[in-house]
Amino acid sequence: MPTKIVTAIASGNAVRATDQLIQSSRAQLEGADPAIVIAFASTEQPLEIVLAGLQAAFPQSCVLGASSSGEFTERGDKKGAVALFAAAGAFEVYAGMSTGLRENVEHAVQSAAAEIPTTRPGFPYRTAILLVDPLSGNGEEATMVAAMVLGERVGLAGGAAGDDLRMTSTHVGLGSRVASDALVIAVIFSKAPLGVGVSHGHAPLSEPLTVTRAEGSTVYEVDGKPAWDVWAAHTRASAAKRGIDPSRLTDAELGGYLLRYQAGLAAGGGEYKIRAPLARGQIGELNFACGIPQGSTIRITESAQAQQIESARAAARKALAQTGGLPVAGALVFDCICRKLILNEQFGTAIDAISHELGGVPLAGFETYGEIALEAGDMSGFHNTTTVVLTFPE
Amino acid sequence: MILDQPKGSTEDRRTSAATTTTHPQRVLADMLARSLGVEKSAEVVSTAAAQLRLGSQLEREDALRVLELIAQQTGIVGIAARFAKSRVHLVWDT
Repeated sequence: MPTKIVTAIASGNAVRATDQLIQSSRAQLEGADPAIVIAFASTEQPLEIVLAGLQAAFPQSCVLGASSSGEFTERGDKKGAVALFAAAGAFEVYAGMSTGLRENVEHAVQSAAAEIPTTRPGFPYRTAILLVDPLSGNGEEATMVAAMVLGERVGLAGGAAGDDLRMTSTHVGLGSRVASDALVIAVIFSKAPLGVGVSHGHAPLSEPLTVTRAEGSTVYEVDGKPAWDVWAAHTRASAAKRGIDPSRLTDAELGGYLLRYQAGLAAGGGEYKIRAPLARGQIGELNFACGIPQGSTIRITESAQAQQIESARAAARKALAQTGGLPVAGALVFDCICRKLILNEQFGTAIDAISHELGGVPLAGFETYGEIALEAGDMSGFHNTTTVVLTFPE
Repeated sequence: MILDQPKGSTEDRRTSAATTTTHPQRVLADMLARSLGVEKSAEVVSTAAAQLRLGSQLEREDALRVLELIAQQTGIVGIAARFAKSRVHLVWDT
């Protein structure tokens, strides 16, 4: 059975937007039943309405999704929209969802994966899509636990839900169930390998800094000073080139500012693992999307537009390299919200670059608060500021 | 057993050195660095190794003891160690 990937994007009222997605995808599917349907919905289209509509329209399909901060397909990107990706073909998909991610990440992941089989006859490859609520502060932890629970032969790709930079409430959903403080795991069994590629374009801006006080995903002090004060001091000169003074940021501007200047953990070999500060607290602490251990050495990072476009190409090439030269039918893309902030009008160029690298195939994705990429046998996991590309074989 | 503090006869040590593969602490730290960064990873590995009175070169069983000790910590440090323990053979057996 040949793979058929369809994508669609719609704006406006949630019910009407969902109906548009259903009509468009049905027309493109030409009677094929999708094994998996994924929706990424802005805060203007409540995810529970979107997923309930899609599940009713595709009752045999695994339907899942996340709230988002920007949505796109190969035809362009939008704000305040809902994007859809559906795949029909020789796939079997099993999924689970759980809440309580903040309180007990291991229990939450094990609960979500409990009903997912480990083998399916005739489908030798397994790839998992992981969607998480980043405001639980356990993105990296959830990724590593999922990798342990699913096993080393399972590649992982996914993203952390968004909320249009409000940083107040992010959701994931499976079927008609939607929740925050939650995660969804969907395992795709396939006859040919799916490809996972990840790349980022950030480079250090500051000298090494020490996290001198931290608890969980909250960093209170860096080099003995309130974390935000250190962030502002080290980014002031760079921000001034764009006419921005960090001491004059409004609450609405702060989230975007922090996502432009993220923390980099030296991961060895000249690589940096980027960590996103999502919000500033009342005493100048910064809340991250995953745990930052006290005593860590970090560097504040930044990126230029050209590096962001090239990193998108690199992610696509890495995904392609894993598919053994087999042609690709389409791709899911999990792209950090900060890349849109940096690229602005050039964001579409990065999406075009991914599609071009993959042979002009359809793709859909969303702007995330964190990206998940773990090749089978890999030791990395949760990322920020990256593009993650998950390719589906023809 | 710590190779840089060997016990037993010269013959015993020759036999042990010929049959036992050891790993520097750095190899363990590298496994954790993706989640904790290189500096914090080196710190938690050396601290755990010191608590277990182990040297800079670790036999496989001792290296696993180091990861198990780190894995008892709460939060991302403990989870990173448990994850590394589940994947350690990918590094050592290839």
